[in-house]
Amino acid sequence: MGKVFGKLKKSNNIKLTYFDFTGRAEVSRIILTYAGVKFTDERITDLAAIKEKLPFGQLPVLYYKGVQISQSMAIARFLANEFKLAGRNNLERAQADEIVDALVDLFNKGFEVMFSQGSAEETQKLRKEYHRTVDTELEKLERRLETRGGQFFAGNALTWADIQFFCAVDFLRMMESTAVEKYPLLADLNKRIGEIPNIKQWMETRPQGGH
Amino acid sequence: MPALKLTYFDLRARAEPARLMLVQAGVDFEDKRLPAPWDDMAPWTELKPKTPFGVLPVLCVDGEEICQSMTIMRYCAHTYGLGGKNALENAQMDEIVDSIQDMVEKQYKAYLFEKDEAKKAELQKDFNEVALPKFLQQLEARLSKRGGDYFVGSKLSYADIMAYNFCSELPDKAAVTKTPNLSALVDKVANLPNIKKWVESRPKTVC
Repeated sequence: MGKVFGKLKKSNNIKLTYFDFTGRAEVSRIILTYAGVKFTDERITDLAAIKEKLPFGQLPVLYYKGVQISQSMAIARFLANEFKLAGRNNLERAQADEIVDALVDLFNKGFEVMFSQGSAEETQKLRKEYHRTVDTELEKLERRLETRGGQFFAGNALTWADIQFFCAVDFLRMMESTAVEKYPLLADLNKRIGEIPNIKQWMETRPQGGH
Repeated sequence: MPALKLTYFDLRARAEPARLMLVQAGVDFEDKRLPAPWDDMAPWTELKPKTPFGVLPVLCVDGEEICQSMTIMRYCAHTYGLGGKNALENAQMDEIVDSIQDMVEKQYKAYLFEKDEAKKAELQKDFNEVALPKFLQQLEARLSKRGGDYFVGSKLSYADIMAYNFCSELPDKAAVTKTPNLSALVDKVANLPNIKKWVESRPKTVC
């Protein structure tokens, strides 16, 4: 682990537990990092050992000043709200949520391919379908971004929807897709998020688990 | 009051959560229903390209369109007094709702989407004998830890209404008898006057 994580190890009573992988926890890690909040970035290799202690037997889990929260999007939304990345009123929050939910649907399809238990032929078929879906969804997201002013997904200001999108593009790269480059507004948003200093530093120094 | 229009198929499925929030809160809304795709595909085929993400439900609020069933549900809950009083309470509600949705997807897969008969039987067996009992126990533990009456903040919230909806849509509704606090909560929500009236009078659909 780099020097950055030596500093971040002091928990501030905030601990995020997940696998050594980007997956469903990366958006929360980036929200915390962007907000400059110290947290323990716990990475588990043996889920079976702790499964019974988890409220719903799954990761990620957030420990926040004595309270335990599970469900990746509940965690991310909570952190976004805590650190002013959620939207400024109910409608903006819903606009951000809408994008996040659409991206989760896309993530889930990608996970299905990545963790496919089927034959090589079945997996290849799933993969092809996935890449087709990626194109359809990115096109819709490009249009959505355009109707919202072209710079950010909600309230014309940075929200966790933009960060979730950045994570989605990172995941697409893992799935060997550069489809986002075909969509100018999306590609530009992704680039701008990546240039935010705290996020840039995170991407350069994060543990490379699962890549 | 904003003009609210909720568009979905003539089904409960992914729009019922939002409908229940609005109904419980006593909010007027247009409950627009397209024929189920297997009854008549034409109206949906025509509307689909005009929707932001090519999926339903869509909520139209004062001319603004919002998609994604859980986003819509959450928006309705927060706007009409069924949300939490701070981010932590909301996270506690979201945790319950998201866990329920994971199980709903499992149920959909086992009972609707899986086409292979052998696989379908296997998925249903796993759902009813393994996944569901375990999940209900986890919900019961969470509920008991919070005092046993409501999932969060000692008052009715979208977490309680979602739990009620999930339990009332189970293939075997008797499954909740093993979880007393949850069972009592489901009954309590079922007997809320607005919910009770809605459930008795809403269109009867296959799902």
